[in-house]
Amino acid sequence: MTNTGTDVEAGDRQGAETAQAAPRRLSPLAIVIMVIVLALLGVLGLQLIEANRSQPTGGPAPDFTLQIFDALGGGTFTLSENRGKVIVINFWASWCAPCRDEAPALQQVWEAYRARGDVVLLGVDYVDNTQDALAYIAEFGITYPNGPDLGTRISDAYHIQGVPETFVIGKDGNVFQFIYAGVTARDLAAIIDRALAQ
Amino acid sequence: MRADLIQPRNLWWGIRWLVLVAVLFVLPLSVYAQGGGDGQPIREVTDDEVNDISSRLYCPVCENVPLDVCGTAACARWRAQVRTLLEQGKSEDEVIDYFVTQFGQRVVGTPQDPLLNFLAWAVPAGAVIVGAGVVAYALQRWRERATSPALPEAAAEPQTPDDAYRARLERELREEK
Amino acid sequence: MLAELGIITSALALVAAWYAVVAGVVGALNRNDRWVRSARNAALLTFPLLTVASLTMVISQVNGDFQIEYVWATTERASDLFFKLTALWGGQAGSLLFWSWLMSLFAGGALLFNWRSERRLMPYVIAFTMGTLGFFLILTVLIENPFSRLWQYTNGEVVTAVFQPAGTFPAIPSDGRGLNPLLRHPGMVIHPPTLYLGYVGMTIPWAFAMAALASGELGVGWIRATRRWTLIAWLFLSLGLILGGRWAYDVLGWGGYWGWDPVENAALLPWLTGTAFLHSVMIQEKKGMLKVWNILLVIITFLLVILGTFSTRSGIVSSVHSFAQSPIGPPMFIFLGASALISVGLWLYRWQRGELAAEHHLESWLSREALFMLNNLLFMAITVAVFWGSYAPIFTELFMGEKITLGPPYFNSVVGPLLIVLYVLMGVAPLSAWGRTSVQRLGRAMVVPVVMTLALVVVAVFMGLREPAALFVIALIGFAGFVTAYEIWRGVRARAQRESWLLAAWRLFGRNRRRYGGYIIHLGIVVIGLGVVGSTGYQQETQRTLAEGEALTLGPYTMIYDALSRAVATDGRVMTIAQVEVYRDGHLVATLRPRQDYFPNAEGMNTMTIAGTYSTLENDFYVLLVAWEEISQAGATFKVYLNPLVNLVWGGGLILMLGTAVAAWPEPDRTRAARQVSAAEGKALEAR
Repeated sequence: MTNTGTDVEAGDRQGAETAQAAPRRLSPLAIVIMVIVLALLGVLGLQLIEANRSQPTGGPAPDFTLQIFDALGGGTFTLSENRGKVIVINFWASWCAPCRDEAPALQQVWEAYRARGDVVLLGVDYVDNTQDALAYIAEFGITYPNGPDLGTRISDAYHIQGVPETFVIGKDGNVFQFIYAGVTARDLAAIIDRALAQ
Repeated sequence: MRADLIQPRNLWWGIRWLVLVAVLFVLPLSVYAQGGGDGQPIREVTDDEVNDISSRLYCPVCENVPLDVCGTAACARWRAQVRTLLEQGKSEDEVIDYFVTQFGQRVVGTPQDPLLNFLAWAVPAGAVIVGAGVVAYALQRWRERATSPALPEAAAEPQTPDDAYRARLERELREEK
Repeated sequence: MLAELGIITSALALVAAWYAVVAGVVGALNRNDRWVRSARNAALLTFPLLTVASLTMVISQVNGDFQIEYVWATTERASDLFFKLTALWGGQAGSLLFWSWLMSLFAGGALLFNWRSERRLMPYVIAFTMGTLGFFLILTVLIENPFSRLWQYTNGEVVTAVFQPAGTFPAIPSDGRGLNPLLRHPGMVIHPPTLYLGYVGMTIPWAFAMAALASGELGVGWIRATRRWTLIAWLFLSLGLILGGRWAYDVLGWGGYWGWDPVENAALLPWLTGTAFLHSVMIQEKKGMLKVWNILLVIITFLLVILGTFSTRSGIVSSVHSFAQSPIGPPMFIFLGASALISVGLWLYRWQRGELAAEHHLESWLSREALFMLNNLLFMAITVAVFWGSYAPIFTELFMGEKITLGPPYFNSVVGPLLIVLYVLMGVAPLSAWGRTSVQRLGRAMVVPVVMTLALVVVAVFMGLREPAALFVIALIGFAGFVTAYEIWRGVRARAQRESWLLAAWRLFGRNRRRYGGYIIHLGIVVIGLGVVGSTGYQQETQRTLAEGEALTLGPYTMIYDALSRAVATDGRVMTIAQVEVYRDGHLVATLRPRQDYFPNAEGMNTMTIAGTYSTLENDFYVLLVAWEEISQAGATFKVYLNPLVNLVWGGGLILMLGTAVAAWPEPDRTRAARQVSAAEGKALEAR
C-alpha cells in the first residue's frame, strides 16, 4: 500500500501493526456503549408509538375517578364501580366554542335518560378554571355530574386531541363508541339506545 | 396615582361592603374545597405581579409556551385566574400549587414532585461526574506511560515565520531588561 | 405538466441514489473501479435531477398552480413574490425536497473535490452520502410527495394523490391558503435554509469518517478532506441558531430570543458536539491522539442531526415549533436506528480490533492537549444536560405516567456554570503549548490579560454594577476576550517590526488563517456571552394599561402613548398600530409603532404581535401592544421590556461569521502543494 508520507500516519501504522495481533474481544466499555445506544433507540421508539396513539374506539375503557363539583352534588365517581351501566363521558371546557353548541343537547339527553337509573352522563372539564366552569354549568342549566380533570390524567388516558370529544362506555366496561367533536341530541340518544340493547 | 383606576375603584368600595356582609352569611356553603374559586378580592394586583408568576407557569394546552407570553384566549383566562387568586391574598407558592393540582406537573418549569425533581437534576450531574472520571482516568494513564522518544510529528509542525519572529522578539525584549 | 416533470425527476433521483449505494459497495468490495465510476456518475446525476424537481416546485409556486396541494398550502395570490420564491421550504413536503437537493449538491461537491486526493475512501463516501440522500428521497417521493395534487370526483368529493385516480378530474382551488403568518418574516425565511445547510453539511464529515471505518483507511485523510466542510457546516448551524433567535425576538413577541424549547435544542445539540469536534480534531492532527474519540464525535453529531429532524417532525416532543404529527415519523425512526447501529457498530468493530490505536502520552496536565480534552468534556456535559432537558419529559411520561416541563430555570442553572468554565478555558488554552507546559510559563503568559480583566472589573464597578456574581461572570468572559485580543496583538506586533501594522495584520491573518480565524471566532463568542449575560440576567419588564397621553417609565426611558390606528396591508392582514413616543432625559429619542396583525384567512395562529424597538448598544427598549379597547378611555395595554446589551448578541454573531470566513478561506502555497502531491498519487492509483 502506498504511503501518504506524513509522520503522524507513520505513527498510525505502527500502532495498527502492533495491535493487529490482539485477539478480537469485546471490552466491557464497548458493551455498555452498545446497550446505551439500544436503550435510547428503544425509548424513542416507544415514545413514537405512544405519541401516535389515538382515542380508544373499543376494548376496556381506561378507569378513572372524578371529583364532582360541589354545586352538582359533590362526591366522586369511579368508572369501574359503575359497571353494568351505560356511561357517556363528555370532555369539555368553558373556553371551547363547539362545546357550548352541544351543551343544550347533552342536557336534553340527560333529562330523557336520567330516570332509568342505568345511564350516566358525565362531564369531564378539561384544563379549565373552576369559576369559569361553574359559570358555564349555570349558564346551560347543566344538572348531570361534572368534575375537573385534575392533572389532566383522564384526558391523557383517553388520548384526546381536543374538546369536545365524547365516549360511550357499554355495560361491559368496554368503549362502545367514540364521537369526535360535537354531537346532536338525536345521534347521542340513538347510540345510547344501541348500547343499552347490547 | 393611577388615573385609569380611580373610577372603577369607587364602585368597588361600595360593592365590597355589601358583599362582605353577604359572605358572612354564606361562608359555610362556600366551595372553598374546589380551590380558590369563590374567595373575595382583598388587594389590588398589578399586571406585573400577574406576569411575574405567569412567567413561571406554562400553558397547559399549548406546548412549552410560558403562560405570560401565550396569546390564546384560554391563556388569557388562566392569567385572569392567577390575578383572581392573587387578589384573594394567595401567595405565589399557593398559586403555583393550585395550577399544579389542576393541570399537572407540566405547568411548572422544574418539576415540583421530589422524585421527578431529583431525576431531572441527577442525570446530567451523574453524566458529568462519570465523564470527568473517564477523562481523568485516561489522562492519568497517558501521563504515567513512560515518555517514549519524542514522536517524529512533534517536530513536524513547522514553526511559522511569525512564531519564530515572535519568539525572537520576546527573547530580545527580556534580554534588554 | 410541471408537476409530472417534478415527480419524474425526483423519482429518477431516488433510483439513481440507491443505485449509487449498491454500485459503490459492490465496487469497493470487489475493488472494481468501473463499478465505482458508475456509482459516482449516478451520484453526480442526482444534483441536476433534483435541481429540476425543485425548480418545477418553485415555478409552480410563483405561478400559483393551486392544483398542487403543497402550492395551495404555502402560497396565495396576494403573497409577495419574495414569499412565493421561498415557499419551497414553507411546509413539510417541500422542505424535504429542499433538503434532498442540498444533500445532492454537497455530496456532489465532496465527491468532485476529493475524487483524486481521497480515492480509496470514495466508494464508501458515495455509499453513505447516497444512502442518506436515498432515505430522504424515499420520504419525499413515496411518503410525503410535494407534487401531490387535488382531484375531484363527479360527486364532489376531493382527494389528494400524486397520480390521477380513475374517474376524477383536476380540482383547482381559486386561491391558496397562504404561508403560516408566523413565517412571513425575512428572518424566518432565511433560518430554515441556513439550518439545513448546517445539517446537510455535517453529513459529509460523517460520510468520510464512515468511509474511513469501512475501508480501513484510518489516518488523517478523512479529517483533512472534510476540515473545511465541517467548519462551513458549523458556520451555517451557528447562523441558523442566531437567526432563529433574532426571528423569535422580532416576531414572537416575548422579549427574548432563546426559550430552551426542545426543537431549538434539537439544533443546538449538533452545534455543541460539532464545536467539540472542531477542537478535538486539532489534537489528532498535531499529536495523533484521540482517533477513537474523534470518529465517535462526528458520528454523534450526525446522529443528533437526524434525531433533531426526527423529533421536530414526528410529534414525539411537545413543542410550539413541531410540525403536526405526520406519517414520516416511523420511517425516520428506522433511518435513525439503522444509521446508529451501522455507525456505532463499525466504530466498535475497528476500535475493538485495535485498528484505531495510537501512541498516547501526555506530558503535562496543562498542555494544550489536556485543555482541549477538558474542552470536549465540558461540551459533552452541556450536550448531555441539554439532551436530558429536552427528552426527559418523554422518559417521565413513558415510565412514570407524569408529563413534566423542563424550562429555562432548569437549563440556565445547569448549563450556565458549565458555560462559564468554558469561557475560562477559552482564555487559558491559547496560552498553553502543545506538549510540555509548566505552571510558571502559563502564569507568566496570563499576567497581562489578568491585569486587563481587573481593569475591566474596576470600570464595571465604577459604572454601577455591584453584584459580585455578575462581576465575577463578566470578569471571566472578559478574561477570555482579553487573552484572545492580546494574542492577536502580540502576533501583529511581531510582524510589524518589518512592515506597517495594517500590512502586518493582513499578512499574519493570511498566513495563519485557522489560528487567527479561530481567535476572531472566540472574540465573537465573548461578545455574545456579554450580550447574553446582560439581556438574560438584567432584563426588566413591566405591563400597564395606558390611556392616550399617559406615560410609563422603565429604566431610563419614559414612554407616552399617542394614538391607535388601523391599516390593511397588501397581503390582506389587518394591522392595529399603536404609536408611542420614547423619551430619555427629557429628549424624544424614538417614535415606535408596535402593532398586532390579524390574518383573516389563516388557520390556527392568526395573530402576530410585532414589537416596536429602540435599539442602542447599551440596551433595547422593546414595546409590545398587548390588548386595546376601541373605547378611547380604557386605552391600550403595553408590555415593555428593557434588554441590556442584547445587541451584542447579534453583533457577536457577525464577528463570528467574519472569523469563520477567515478560518475557512482557501489556503495558498504550502498546503495546496501538499494536496497536489496527494492528488498526483490518486491519479497514479487510477492509472493502475
